[in-house]
Amino acid sequence: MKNLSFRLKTRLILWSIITLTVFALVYLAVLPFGRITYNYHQNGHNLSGGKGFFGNFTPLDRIDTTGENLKIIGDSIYFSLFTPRRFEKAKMTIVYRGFDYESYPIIEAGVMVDPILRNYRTYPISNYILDRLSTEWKSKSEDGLLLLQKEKKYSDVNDLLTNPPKSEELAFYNYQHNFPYQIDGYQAQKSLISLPDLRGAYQFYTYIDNEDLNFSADFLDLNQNADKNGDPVQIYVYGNDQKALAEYSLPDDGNKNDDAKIGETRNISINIPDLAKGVYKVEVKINDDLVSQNIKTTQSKLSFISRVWVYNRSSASINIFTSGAFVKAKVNDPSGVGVITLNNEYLDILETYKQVTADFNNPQKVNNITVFRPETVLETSGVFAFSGDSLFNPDIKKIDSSTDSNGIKYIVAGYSAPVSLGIWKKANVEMDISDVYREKGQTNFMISIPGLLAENKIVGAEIQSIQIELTGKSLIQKIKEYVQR
Amino acid sequence: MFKDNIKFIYGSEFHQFCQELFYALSGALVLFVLLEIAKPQIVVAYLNISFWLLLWLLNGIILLMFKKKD
Repeated sequence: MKNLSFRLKTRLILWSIITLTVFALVYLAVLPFGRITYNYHQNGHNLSGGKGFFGNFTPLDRIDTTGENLKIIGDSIYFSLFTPRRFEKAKMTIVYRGFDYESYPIIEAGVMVDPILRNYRTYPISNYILDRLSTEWKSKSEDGLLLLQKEKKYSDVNDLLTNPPKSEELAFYNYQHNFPYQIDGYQAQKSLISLPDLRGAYQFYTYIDNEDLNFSADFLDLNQNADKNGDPVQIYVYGNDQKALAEYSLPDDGNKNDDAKIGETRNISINIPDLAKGVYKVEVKINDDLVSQNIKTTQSKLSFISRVWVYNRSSASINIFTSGAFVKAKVNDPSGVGVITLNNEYLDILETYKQVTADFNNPQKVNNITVFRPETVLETSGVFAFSGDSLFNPDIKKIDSSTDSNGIKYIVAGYSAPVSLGIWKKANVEMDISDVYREKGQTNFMISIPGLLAENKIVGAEIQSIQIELTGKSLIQKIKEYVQR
Repeated sequence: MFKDNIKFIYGSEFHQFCQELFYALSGALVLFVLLEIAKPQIVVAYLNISFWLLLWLLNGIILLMFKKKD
């Protein structure tokens, strides 16, 4: 080294730095051990000046970035995370503080699994309802499952599942278990029922007992939004075990532009015979450019899950029945602005794209909504049906910010309470991201505080930091799998 | 004023350093572009390429100033 000229020494040093940088970048691109951690802090600095891995938090009207920490003022907020490869698990550690746990008891994180339905798989960050009940009721936590009992009856969750209480006494949170469901005295019908036109995606439960699963719809492509994937139709039928029994599809109508030229209607007809008695779920996976028209079925029990977009271009009066105690309503077209009725009381919807939330006055077991205008989107915590007789809800009650806990005696929750760090709290959220939607290396996440409305300008939570630890297959495991194939 | 205070001596160690830095930065930028093509966003996530380009440009200007002195 001593005999080397200045030029050669300089060359060696500079090229060593470049080579090391390139090797480091290749290592960080491949991540051979399948593990990496990314950190976010609103005022965090990246010494190397890169744009980092966390995308911007959006929408901007639901966040306040003026202080030291990120403040959430509206539900929900979204961000993306760039990852150089696919991972199986994400452990999100979030340091936060809430400001009004009584009004906004639930904070959840989610990861996008379906870009068409914009479905996020959600996981709890904090649930004040459960935190409070844990101190008041008998509480037992085992293997990440929390069992809460108003009166001690069960030794553990398995004991409860083998000998379940009445369904109205039980509630779940971040937990799924399908008990055998049966409607006593049910008689299958043969007559064909017509349902109103629906826009966009929807899912429904239907009950089968000694009959075929029968459903037919014409799909109309409005071609109002350009989508590089077009506007295909996919329909899945699921049984009690959550596995798809049947799949139906239609490709795009051939026009992927947003020229508003309405395509021809195309039909999908489902007829599945010889199904075992029980509840089946049908998922119609379409984007908002598609309208389901001429919907016909012989199913006498048919309940739409959580959300329906009533197309109703003829401005007819449509009665909708729900098991939910509240309704979130929105109109997606100026022609839809007006009123709807909730148990015969008027609810004004005065602006487009603004969601209005209202509880039913004198809520009944079955509540009634009447829609008079086009393009009304309705959401609830339960199910909707277009006749009182066809309404049924096989789901166990879920604990959410609007749950009426009267009558509930047992709660099973996949939940661990956050750790207190003085004024801050630290929560760990473990997510399965093996099958999530990922485009151009970006995985989409959300943080939700149900009920928090941006127009009220109330801070729901302040986030000090987010750490996401990703784990997946190592390079050796991937090579082994490739060779075995 | 600037011209009077800084003297560019052709063949000096500073000149040699600038030349080597220019080659190294040019090579690095080519490698970064290739890496970006192979694995989009991996370079820009960690490094600010604008700074590297600015450094490369300033270095190139300094080298041209050496040439003017010739």
